Amino acid sequence: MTVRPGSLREKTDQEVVALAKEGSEEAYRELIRRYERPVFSLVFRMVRNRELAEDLSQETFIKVLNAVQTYRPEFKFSSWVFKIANNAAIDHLRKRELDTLSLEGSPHADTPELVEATALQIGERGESQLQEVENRELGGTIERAISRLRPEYRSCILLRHVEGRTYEEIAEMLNLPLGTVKTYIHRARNELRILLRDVRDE
Amino acid sequence: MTNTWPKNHLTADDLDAFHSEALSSEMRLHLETCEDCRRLVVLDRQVLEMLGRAPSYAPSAEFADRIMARVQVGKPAPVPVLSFPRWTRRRIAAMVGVAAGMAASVAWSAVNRQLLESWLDGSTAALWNTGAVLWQNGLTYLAAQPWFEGIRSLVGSPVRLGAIGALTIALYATGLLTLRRLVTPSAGSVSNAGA
Ligand SMILES: [Zn+2]
Repeated sequence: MTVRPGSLREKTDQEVVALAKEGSEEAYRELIRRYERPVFSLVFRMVRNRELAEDLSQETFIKVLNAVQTYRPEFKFSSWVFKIANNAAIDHLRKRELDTLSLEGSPHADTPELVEATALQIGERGESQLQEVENRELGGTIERAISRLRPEYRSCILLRHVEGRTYEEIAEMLNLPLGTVKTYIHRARNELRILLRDVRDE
Repeated sequence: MTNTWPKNHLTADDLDAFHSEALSSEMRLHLETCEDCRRLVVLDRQVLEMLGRAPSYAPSAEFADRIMARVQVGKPAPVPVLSFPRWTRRRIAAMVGVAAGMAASVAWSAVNRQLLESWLDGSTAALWNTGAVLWQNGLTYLAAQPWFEGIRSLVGSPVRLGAIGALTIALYATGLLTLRRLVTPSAGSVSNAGA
């Protein structure tokens, strides 16, 4: 089945997925074209290694596209892709036990006072020098600040404020209660404000 | 900004409301008078602006080709036949239970065929003759139940008989669906169902 790539660009995700289900290779490529940058950027910022991010993003697309026949259109295609990408990144981070030694206090800190008080210690954690060299691309102030967030906060804040997803979509993607997503995002913003302020005060 | 977040200052929800220009008049008033909260919203806005300006990164040029080389266009993902990740004891027990119940009812009715036919009088003869296997199985399953004698008198009316037959078929179908669910491996994180 052949579909002109140009004509695919105006179609919605659901329409392109429907064509993919019918066996259009162009439709598969269009789905990759639409999401390769956002997915790769999310994973790259999560794992902070270009080669690894590329492998994990690639696996994400292979999983999604090989399961496209089972896709249920009542869910956003983008949510599905981001969900699988985020799972891949989080699984990897857990396996490597990177970043999981939390110095910023309990993720269950539930009062703003506790959150802010515990968040003050995050400067103690950082990348190794090797990673610092590897990740020159992610060397900007905000990128470095993002890298210091715990992975759960990092995916939430990236999805919300870099990818522009709603709280509800993120809750659905990450299988988290809406309240937890809001809490993670506000804690992340709180930590970023402190890091930003500290950078300016230096 | 102070290190604590005293009550009556802007909350996290107020911050969101501020950015979407939906802050309540009460909190707007507070903002006019509170230096801490003003600093907070300015800094928060800067954080959001920096996040919004964060660049997107592109994977290498061969990215799409490498993916397409490993994607089966237009074919459902192969279900790994030997992958049954949750063969728990409870799962096996449930499967054996459902299958044994269904098999027992069929076996009993096969052995007691004459008794069954004597129970089911003339009004059911036409239905027997249709030879529909499901229907027959449904009736025999029904007859196998211990409570069958008690409600046998109901079977005299074809309408009632039909209703009971349908119920029986539904029970069998439920049994089969349960078995199918128990035997099918879960799709894992690939499925977007309930995503
Ligand atoms: Zn205030």
